[in-house]
Parts: sequence; C-alpha cells; structure tokens
Amino acid sequence: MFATSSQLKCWLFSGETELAKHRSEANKAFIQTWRQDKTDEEVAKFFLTPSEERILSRQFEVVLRKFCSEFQPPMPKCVIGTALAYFKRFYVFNSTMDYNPKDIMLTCAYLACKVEEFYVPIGQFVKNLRGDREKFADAILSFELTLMEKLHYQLTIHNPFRALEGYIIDLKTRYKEIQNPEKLRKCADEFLDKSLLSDACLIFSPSQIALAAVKFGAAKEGISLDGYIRNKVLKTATEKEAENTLYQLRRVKAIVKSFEQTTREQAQGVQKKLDRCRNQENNPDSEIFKQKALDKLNEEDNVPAVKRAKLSNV
Amino acid sequence: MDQYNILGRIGEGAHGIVLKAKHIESGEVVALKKVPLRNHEEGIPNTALREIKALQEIESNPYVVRLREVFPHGSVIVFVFEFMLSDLSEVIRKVEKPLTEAQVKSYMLMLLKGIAFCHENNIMHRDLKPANLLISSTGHLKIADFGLARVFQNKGDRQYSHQVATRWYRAPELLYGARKYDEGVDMWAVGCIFGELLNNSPIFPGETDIEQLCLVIRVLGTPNEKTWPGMSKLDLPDYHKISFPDKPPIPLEEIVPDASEEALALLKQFLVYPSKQRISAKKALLHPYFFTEPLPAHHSELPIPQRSSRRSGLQLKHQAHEYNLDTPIGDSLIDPDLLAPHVIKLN
Amino acid sequence: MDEQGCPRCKTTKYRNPSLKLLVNVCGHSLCESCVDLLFVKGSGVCPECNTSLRRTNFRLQLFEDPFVEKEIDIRKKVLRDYNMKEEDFASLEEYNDYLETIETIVYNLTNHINIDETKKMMEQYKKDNKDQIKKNQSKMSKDEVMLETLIEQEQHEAVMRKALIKEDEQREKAAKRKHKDALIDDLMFSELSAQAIISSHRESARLEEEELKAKTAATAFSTGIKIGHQNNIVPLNRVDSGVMYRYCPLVMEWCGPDPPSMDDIYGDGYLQNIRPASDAERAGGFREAIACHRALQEAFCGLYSYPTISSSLAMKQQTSMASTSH
Repeated sequence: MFATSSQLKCWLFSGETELAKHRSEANKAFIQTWRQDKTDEEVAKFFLTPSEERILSRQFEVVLRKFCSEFQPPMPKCVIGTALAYFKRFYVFNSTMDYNPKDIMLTCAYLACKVEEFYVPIGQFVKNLRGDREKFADAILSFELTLMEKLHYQLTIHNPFRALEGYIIDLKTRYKEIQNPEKLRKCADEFLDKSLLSDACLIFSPSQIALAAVKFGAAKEGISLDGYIRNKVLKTATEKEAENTLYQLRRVKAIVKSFEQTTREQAQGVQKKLDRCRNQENNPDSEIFKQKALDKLNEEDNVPAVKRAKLSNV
Repeated sequence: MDQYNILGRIGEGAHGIVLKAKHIESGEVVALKKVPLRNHEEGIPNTALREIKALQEIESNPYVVRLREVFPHGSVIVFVFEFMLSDLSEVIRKVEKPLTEAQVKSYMLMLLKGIAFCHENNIMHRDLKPANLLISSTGHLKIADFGLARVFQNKGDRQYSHQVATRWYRAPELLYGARKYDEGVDMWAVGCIFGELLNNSPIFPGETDIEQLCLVIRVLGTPNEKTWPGMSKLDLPDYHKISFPDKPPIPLEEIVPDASEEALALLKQFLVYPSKQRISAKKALLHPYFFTEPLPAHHSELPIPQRSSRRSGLQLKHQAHEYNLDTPIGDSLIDPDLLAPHVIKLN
Repeated sequence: MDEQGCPRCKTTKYRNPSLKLLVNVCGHSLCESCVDLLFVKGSGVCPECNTSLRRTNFRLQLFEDPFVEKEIDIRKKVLRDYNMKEEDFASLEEYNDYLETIETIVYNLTNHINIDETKKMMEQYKKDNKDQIKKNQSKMSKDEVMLETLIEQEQHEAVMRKALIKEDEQREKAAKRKHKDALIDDLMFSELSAQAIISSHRESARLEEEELKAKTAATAFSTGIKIGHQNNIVPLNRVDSGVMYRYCPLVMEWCGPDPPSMDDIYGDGYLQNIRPASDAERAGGFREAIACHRALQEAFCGLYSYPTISSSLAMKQQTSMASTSH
C-alpha cells in the first residue's frame, strides 16, 4: 500500500529545488573530505561541480534504461522502473565522485531483478555486458550491500504502471464519454517511459504520474479528461485536496516534458575529470579496494577461529 | 555490531544463526539474525531480501514481529528483531494442561489481527505455522519469518512457486501444484493452526506430500464438483497424476471432539477446498466465536514457556518433518504400499 | 517458618513454585493434582477428616492457614440466614448483640463446639424469621446501595474524563495542523529566510504547548484527589466478568479517493473490461476481480500526496545521522 510506504514517508521530495539542495550538499561533503589543502580555485578545477555531477548521473540514467530495455530475457517494466528509482535515490544523498555511477547502475539493475522477483542468475545477467564479465559480476556483488545500505534497506518501489492499468479500466467502466480508452494507451505508455528519466518518481506518487500520463495520452488524441478527473476521480476530494492534485498533475507534465538529454561530449568531459577525482576506496580496480575486500573476508574468518580455540580449551 | 552485547545463542534458522543480544545504549534485549552472504554466489539471498522488503513496509503492528534495524557486518547481514521468548509450537508442546477455550480464542484473535493487517497491506505470508508465531514475554503473539512472504502480484503473467509453506499447513490447491493462488493459502494455514490449538496436536501431520493430501481428503472428503466447483475442469498440474476413491467427508466434530459449537463453526469456514470460500481474516474477527463466553483471555493469562536448553534437541526432532522445498512431489513418496488403500491409481 | 505444602503428597511451594493448593468445606487443603487423583468420580472423602466432599466445591486456597478458609465457608453459610441489617433493629445495642450471636455460632461451628446445639439454634432462628430472611435477601442494605451509587458515579466520571481527553487531543491536533499550514504559508510567501521562519514557528508552538500543559495540570489536580480517593474503594461483591472483546476495523491510510470496493467491481461492470482469469488461475482461488481491485487501488492510492519540505525533514535528519555514523 503506497499510503503507508517508505516511498511516501522517506523518498518523496517537495520539488527539484529540494533535490538540488541535497545533491549539492552531497557534493560539498565529498569535497570537504578529500580537498586536503587545495585552494578554492584548485578545488573547482579538480572536483566535479554539482551541475557536472548532474550531467553524469543523467547520462547514466539514459544508459541504464537502454541496458534494461535491451536486456535478455526481456525485463518487465516494473523491474526497469525499480532499477531507475534505486539509481536516482542513491544519488540524492551520495556523490558520483564517491561511488562511480557505472558500478552503481549495474548493481541497481541486478538488485531490482531480485526484488521484483524477476530472477536472473548473475552469470546470465553479465552476459548482457561486453567486456570482462567476471569483473563485472564481482563489482556488482561487491556494491550490493552498499547500495542496500544507502537505500536504507527500503527496497519496495511503487511504480506507476499498474496504476495506469487501473485508470484505463476505470475509464472504460465509469467514463463512457470516451469511445475507446485503449487508444490513449500508446501515448500514455510513452509518457511513463519518459518519466523514468526525470525526477518524477522522487517527487510524485505513482498514481499522480499515471493519471498525468492518461491525461497526456488523451490530450494527444484531442480528448480532454478534465471532466473525468474533476467529477469522477476527485468527486469525494475536499477543495484543498482537489486543488493540490490538479497542481501536482500539471507539475508532473512540466517536469517530464522539460527533460533534455545531455550530449555525449558533455558527459565524456565530465567522465575524464571524474577519473582523477573519484574515491579510490570505492573503485573496484584500485589496490586499496581489493585490500579492503580482503580484510573484510579475513575478519569474518577470524571470528569462528577464535571461538573454536576457546572451545578446545574447555 | 559494537552496539550489541551478545548474550547467547537462540537457535539456528534455515538462513543463519540467531543470537540473543543486548543493545548497549538502550539496554533492550534483541534477537540478531545473521544471514551470511559468503558462499552465496548470487549475492544477497532472495529470502533475506523478501524479509527486508516485507518488514520495511509493514508499519508497526502489535501482532507482527518488529524489525528494528538491518546492518551489514563484514560479509554478513544482521537483522535486529525484538526479542521473543518462545513460539506457539513450544507453547502447544509444553503446556501441561490443554489450553483453555479462552486462551485459544486469545491466540486466534492475535493471529487473525496480524494476518488481517498483512493482507490489508497486500502481503501474503505463505509460511504460517506455530513455529513462526512467536510469543513475547508478555504473552503476546507476533507473526514472524517473512522469508517466504510475497507482496501480491496481480499481473496475470506471474507465477508463484507451489512449494511454499511447511507441509502440514499447506493448502490443498498447493498440494495439487497450483501456481496461482491468493491469501486463501494463509487462511488454510490459520485453520490448521486453529485445529492444532483445539486438539493440542496437528490435525494433518502428513509425512509426504501425497500422505498430506490423503489426510486432508480423509477429513474433507474427496473433492468433487460440489465441494470444489470447477475443480475437475481446472488445470491443477498434479490433479491428474493421482486420484482418490470417492469418500464422504468426516464431520469435523470427530476430528476436534472437544471444541465448542462456535469453534467448529469457525474452523469449518477455514477448512474448505475453494480458496475463495475460506473466510477472510477480517471477517473471521467478527465471528460469533469471539463474542461468546468464555471471552478471549487477557494476554497475562497466557502461558509463557521458558526457552530451555532442551530446545535444541526438540528442534532437531521437529526439523525432521521440515519439508525440503526443492523436492518434487513424486520423490517425496516413501512407501506406496502404505498409501495403497487410499489411492486408486498412480500415473 | 512452616513451608506451605500439600499434606498428602508433601509437595511444597518451594519445590514446585506453581503448586496450587485447593481447599474444601472441611478446611483441609490438597494440591491440584491430588484432587485430580482422588476425586476422579466427582466426589470422595477428605484424606484428613473423612468428610465426604464434592470435587466442585474445591476452590483455590487464598490464605496460608486453611483453617481461615473453613471459617470463611461457614461464615458465608451462616450469614445467608442471619442477614438482618442495622436498620432492622431498634437500637444499636440490639444490633451488636445480634452480631455477637453470629460470631458465637461461627466460632462454635469452626471449632466443633456444641455443634448439635448450635445447629438446632440456627434451625429455630430460621423458622422464626423465615419471612424476614426472605425479605432481606431481596433487599440491599444501605451500604450496598451506597457502593452501587459510588460505582455508578465513578463510571460516569470515567466516561466524562475520556471525553475530555479526546477533546484535548483533537484540539491539540487541530492546533498542530494550523501551525503546519501557517509554516508552509510563511515559507512560501514570507521574505524571511526559511531557517528563521522554522525556528520562530517552533518557538511559538512550544509556548502554546506549555500554556496548554499548565492548564491541564490544574484540572488534574482539582479532580485528582477525588479520583484517587475513589479508587481506594474496592467494589466488594462484584465479580469481574472479563473484558469484552471489541472489534475495531483496521483503518488504512489512503491519501487519495476511495477506490471501488470488491462489490462495486462486481456490480458496476468493471469485469467486462479485463481479461478473464484462466482455469489454472481459478483453481488456486485467483479471480480477475482481484487483479482489477489491485489495479484500481494503485490508481487511487496516494493521489492526494503533496510532499512539502517539512514532511521530508525527518528523512533528511535520518540520512545526515547515517552519514555521520559512517
């Protein structure tokens, strides 16, 4: 139930301004930790700015959606929605310099498969990637726990897809003014697909996104759904609730439509800068990362060994 | 992990060890469930994910065990639960006198409230059994172990595994191999637990899947068009693999001889073949059973057995009955001769 | 000190803390399991004094000395007949004499003194005062009437208190909501910095709360004494009949318009618009109406959601805590 979900309670923000604030705080916090004695000027040159980070994460959102839609076996929509929601939630409070979006992106997709019960063994999962597949598998698994922790173990994502089905059924049943509501579906689907690349899922409830999609689909067909929304859906709403909902619907549309793709060149420039300033502790290729992973394993090995020693003394 | 003082070991679950510990800061006693990640080539095991998923979304409810936090420790995930003294299977096994009707009512009330809450949140538990119903030191019952819990799917293309739920509490449609089912599987289990509370022993203690089906059929009668509408036409994967001689049902009065009239009336509404006809948890809470004398006992009047050191041994014995989820139905057949009188043909 | 225990099987409270001692009319105790053993048929004799007893007359021994239990039993029986009240006598002296007689009878019966004589006396009394006894049985004494009214009064006050508390809660809630709305309005329209607005709102909320607390404290004091006093009176012959189970339906937060109920789905023709469930799906109890219901639930749930900065504040704190602990 969305109304009691962690999504509503912890992961909906008031708008893009608030999101930008959190992201720049994450950016600032990272720089603060790693700047050492760099002057402000050097800092600006060496580290990514919040807007550069945003270019990077947006770029990877596009890559992630492409990866998911080409995935074999084909991913259900809700897996794609969940993977993208994880990715977006992750970078609200974390910097791309701290955790490389490339690693996180794949881990998001893998975790989404498991959580949405679309089970793909890791071996089969990495077959969808080109390059050193074993290395990919190791990276995905090594970031799985980090990802869960940063998502505060709140793994249930409410996607708008089923809500869209609900509205289409409801239109067919309660709003006979439209001849064939199925014809809205194509445009509505496209709208939802587009919304995946925006921050919509961090600001609006899935039902709002779905209703905005239906409204948009209808408008494309030259049909106005205002009557349906006001007199059927919001019939029992209070003045204030109706007003808020209509306002939110307009905002969904604005945010989804305003999306502009970052260019490859932009992203490549940022990527180069990132290679220098990223946190090596979280780079699976670095020596320090490997050492840390090894320590972790040893730490676990030692515990039972101590216990056994104690027992033999008795 | 530094925030906890380990006090001892509670037991070993299917997914890892469970420790008793004290939260240093608050002094609260908790149960730590450690789920190892190593040896898992697929990363975090699905059962652990499902449990986190279900418990994170369930708001605090007095009848569902509370997940206080989750944190990683090395390559282990640690679940921190509120500490519970015992579980219902232990209560049933250990009480000297049979539970009074008021006590049974009280347990059923708490169980149904918890289930109603889960179902209202679109979560099926799928593995209800007395061992998963924990008892707190105040006598409260709380539902635990959401390792098999699923958030309901409503898309037509998703199939579930039918090898869920411990055999004794498994609904007939699961025994017949149905891949699509609903909350009714939980309500069947509730019925079995209810019968067990009334009788002080499990009502369908099958040793194999087929024996399990035999036991159910012996009591409910061979399913037919009347008792399970549409069943012969239905495509239950295992339905045509086995058929049973036509037998009338045995009145439940004979199975649960000491139960009151209202108890039987309610029990009958849980133990029916068509899942949709089983009473929902919400409706069951309004059943006259709970409003007639003797009224449900206050939780302070419920027995609270101590966890004893004997427990580990008892658990082992108990686990002998534990069903291996991966065994196909055919393999679990042990002695066809034993079953012969109940079976016409085995294809 | 003498260890309390069962005289027959010699089990003591020390060895078995859950030992339950029962006592019958003769005043000799037995533990529960001995009673179970000796009185299988429903009746039998006391192993101490050979009095024939019924099993149903066993009751939990409340006092350490079973002798007291016996006296209580006898007193109960005697008082059933000797039930005159103070108002039935012309003077206090006469009433006191009457009470004295009762005490003598009870003492005699418990200690086996002049049993036959005493019993005869009781019979005589019973005959002489037949009508009076009957009348008194149906009449409540002044004391009981007073108790009755006290209990009633107390219940009435409890109801009033509950209503008061509820009212307070509602008032508080309304005030909180008002504050929140005002805060949001200020954040939207005021020119002060957000930080300043939030802190000024916090201050005013705190002041108001304190005011309220002072008020409630005062009322609690003036009635408090009275309440405390009444609680000391334990209703004597009232048996607690267990707390009635009351069904409270689950209330789900919804944050959107109510979706059609299962009945609406069947009644309003929703099902014509979706794919029917296959036979395999039906076998397990799956129905297309379930799918339809869920889809509609998801469509309407959360439609009124309107996150504001203040509502996600809690989340922010949580994350900043998480990052510092790291």
